Amino acid sequence: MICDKWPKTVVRIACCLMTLLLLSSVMLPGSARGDEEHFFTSIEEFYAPHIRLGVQTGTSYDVFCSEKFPLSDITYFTSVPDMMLQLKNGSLDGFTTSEVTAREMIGTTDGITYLPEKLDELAICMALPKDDDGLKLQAQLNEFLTRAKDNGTLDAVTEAWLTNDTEHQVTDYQALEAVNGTIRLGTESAYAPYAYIRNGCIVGIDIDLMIRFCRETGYGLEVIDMSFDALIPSLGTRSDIIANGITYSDERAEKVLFSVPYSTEKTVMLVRCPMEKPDFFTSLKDSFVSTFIRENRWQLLLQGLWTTMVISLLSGIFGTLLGFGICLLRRRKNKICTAVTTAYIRLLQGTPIVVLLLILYYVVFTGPSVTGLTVAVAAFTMNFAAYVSEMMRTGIDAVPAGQMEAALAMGYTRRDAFFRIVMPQAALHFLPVYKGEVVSLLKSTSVVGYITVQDLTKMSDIIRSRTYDALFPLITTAVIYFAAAALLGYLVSRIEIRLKPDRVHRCVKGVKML
Amino acid sequence: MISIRHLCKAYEGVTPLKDVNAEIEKGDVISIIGPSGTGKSTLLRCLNMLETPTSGEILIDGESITRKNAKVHLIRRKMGMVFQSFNLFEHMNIIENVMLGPVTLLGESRQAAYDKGMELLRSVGMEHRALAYPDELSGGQKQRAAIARTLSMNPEIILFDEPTSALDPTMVGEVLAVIRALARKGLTMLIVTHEMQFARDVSTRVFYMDEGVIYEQGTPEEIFEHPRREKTRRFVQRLKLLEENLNPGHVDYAALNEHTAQFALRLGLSDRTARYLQLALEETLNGLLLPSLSEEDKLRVTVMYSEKNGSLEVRFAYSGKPAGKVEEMDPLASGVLSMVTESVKYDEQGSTEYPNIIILQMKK
Repeated sequence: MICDKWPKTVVRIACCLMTLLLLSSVMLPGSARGDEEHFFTSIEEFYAPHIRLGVQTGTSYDVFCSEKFPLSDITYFTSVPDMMLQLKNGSLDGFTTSEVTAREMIGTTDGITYLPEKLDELAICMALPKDDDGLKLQAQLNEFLTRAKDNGTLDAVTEAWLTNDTEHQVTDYQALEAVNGTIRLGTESAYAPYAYIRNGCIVGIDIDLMIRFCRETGYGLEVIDMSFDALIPSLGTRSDIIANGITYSDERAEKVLFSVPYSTEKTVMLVRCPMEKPDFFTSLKDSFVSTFIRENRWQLLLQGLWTTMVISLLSGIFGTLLGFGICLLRRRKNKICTAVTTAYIRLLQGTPIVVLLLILYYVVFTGPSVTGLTVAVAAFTMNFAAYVSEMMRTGIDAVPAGQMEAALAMGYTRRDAFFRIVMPQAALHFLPVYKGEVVSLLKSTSVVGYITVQDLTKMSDIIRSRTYDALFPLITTAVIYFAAAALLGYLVSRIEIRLKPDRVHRCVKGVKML
Repeated sequence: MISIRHLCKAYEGVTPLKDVNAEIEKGDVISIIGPSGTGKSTLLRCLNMLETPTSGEILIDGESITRKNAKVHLIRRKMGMVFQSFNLFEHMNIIENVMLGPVTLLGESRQAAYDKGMELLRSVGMEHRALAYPDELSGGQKQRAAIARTLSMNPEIILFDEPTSALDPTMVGEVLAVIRALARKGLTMLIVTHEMQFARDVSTRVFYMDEGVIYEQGTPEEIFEHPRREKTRRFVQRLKLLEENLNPGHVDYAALNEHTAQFALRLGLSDRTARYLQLALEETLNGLLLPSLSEEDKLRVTVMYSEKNGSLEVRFAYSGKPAGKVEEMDPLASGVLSMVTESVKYDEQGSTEYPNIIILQMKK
């Protein structure tokens, strides 16, 4: 029976893949822009009303743009690659960024350039927590940076990363010996050339400088990849230093300690420029190569999938167990038990999972020993348990009371009667819903990127941040999620088939029938 | 075998069992009868602790099941129960239902349990449905399978909780036949039932339950033929009553007629019967009783209908001096009465409160 079923499933999956591919091939020409496209050539044009500007949340460009271009329409993004995509497909007219970043970008992607005018000049610093440890580290770091500036190391490092001169880059932070302890460096790996992922490793100017600093001062280095807006809040609890091309501002200086500047950032406006349109198949091929092959990026997707599956499976299993426990507590006719469990369920069902993740990560488990992965598993376990317990309760309530009574009257203990008679029947009631809930658990894990866990979605974001191409990373991610969901659904179905009365093969196991 | 001592079960607002005492011997087949809501099922469910008694003691084979640390689940294994709603395990087929107890509780091998199970199914005429699931069976088949399941545990006692109440009338017979066969084998059985004929045929003793106690008990003959107490008599003859206390000085005929009509409607009596009943009441009151009664006298009218044999009886009980006889009434009124009644009886030895009694036996 199962053997007959497999090909059907395979055919179904194949059909969906085909549909997705077809859809994407329709979308791809769509991403090409209309013929009468306007290319901005001078900054003066940006003073006109309703120019569409992009700003990354948490950056100093927010205030800068609204002051400098008061008539423009500003849209907020969480990452630079997102703005890049919007710029390329014409939804944005431009966004401000540092010249270093802009140079890096136009080196890796076609069809964009930056306007020659320097709009602003800002100091780039590292930041430390405002406490005694921070002060001590700040002194060491300032001493190092000042010396590096004086003896030309700083310029050499910057140059090595801007020209992609791998010989003079330092990347192996794992090799550091932690004689005086380990420094946790917070950064977002979507900000080339300061910090980005290459060949599955986080590299860049910031990492390079930190490695050199740690090597001199005898620290080990741990690099924690988190979203840019989480950097400053993480100081002191989850990171000791943050570096991500962070610009100095007075407002920020109230919250953190800044190091001496190690670079200056000239703000420029990134815009589209005319480009030769490659033919459809070439662009498809280029896109494929840059998404999967270059820098072994397919490995990132595999790692991400592994993380996603680990979180889903662990929290699926723990959540089911916890949910079962809560369900049992709730069934006790004890007022306190009922009140506590009901409160738990209402609370968890009424809290968005992202908020729960953030609370657990930044408020509850602030210690360094609790990793993002652990917090993710804990949060999804708690959340899943709330749903599972309600599901189980309805399932158990759906089994007539007479079933329990009949089992008790036969001489089963209450516990045996519950597990042998009530539970198998309740399971048949709730498993179909449970299956859907497992799949939606898998899908909802895609938000763990918020707390620095690099799951499948986060990995595809990272790839997008390098390729500035949405198509392949997103479609691939969707397909992988779909396949993983199908797999999980299939596993639950196996349990369901085992429990379901087999009305086709009527037989009694372990018995020679007459 | 079973001793029930001062058993009491009270729920909030209602006390179905007030003080139940009984001794049940090995081999007894006891039918428990009585009106609905008199605690018959509650008594049965207390016996195997599906309901926890409020107070009192139950001994099974000398072992207390109501004691605090009693091994209830072990005592229950000696005592099978057959439910009104069958309660077959829905996720197993019939033979698995029958095998489950022996394999998991008695430690028998699956093969031995299967062989014995098939034997039991054969004895209840269900072996051809051994691989069916409960939802594929008729009610009668389910109940027979449930009986086989109960028997698979080799119980010494079987409790039947209204085993045929949920069945289609056409299926009652097949289930009763199975229980009859069991009764002949000498098993100790307690049967809560509304099947009077069956209770009479099968049992060694009958408990009539009412007012939270075993109101009357005896052999089937004693209970069904010669009940000693009024309520028992009413129940076994299936008497339905309409009772009215009237004021001789002022009888509200409209209300009386209304109540009579409702009574007749409830019991499904014909319009003519109802009309005759009203006539008999009116003529007797008007022509015979009221002229001789004073306002201080008490007067109670009871209409009694036996669902068992369809007889309808009107009883006037009153205080004061005895009224005359029907023959002494005016000819028109006595004519009407003789048209609608079969017979009239007089009695002057009623209760102290109502010494005088006139009984009209209505024509069918």
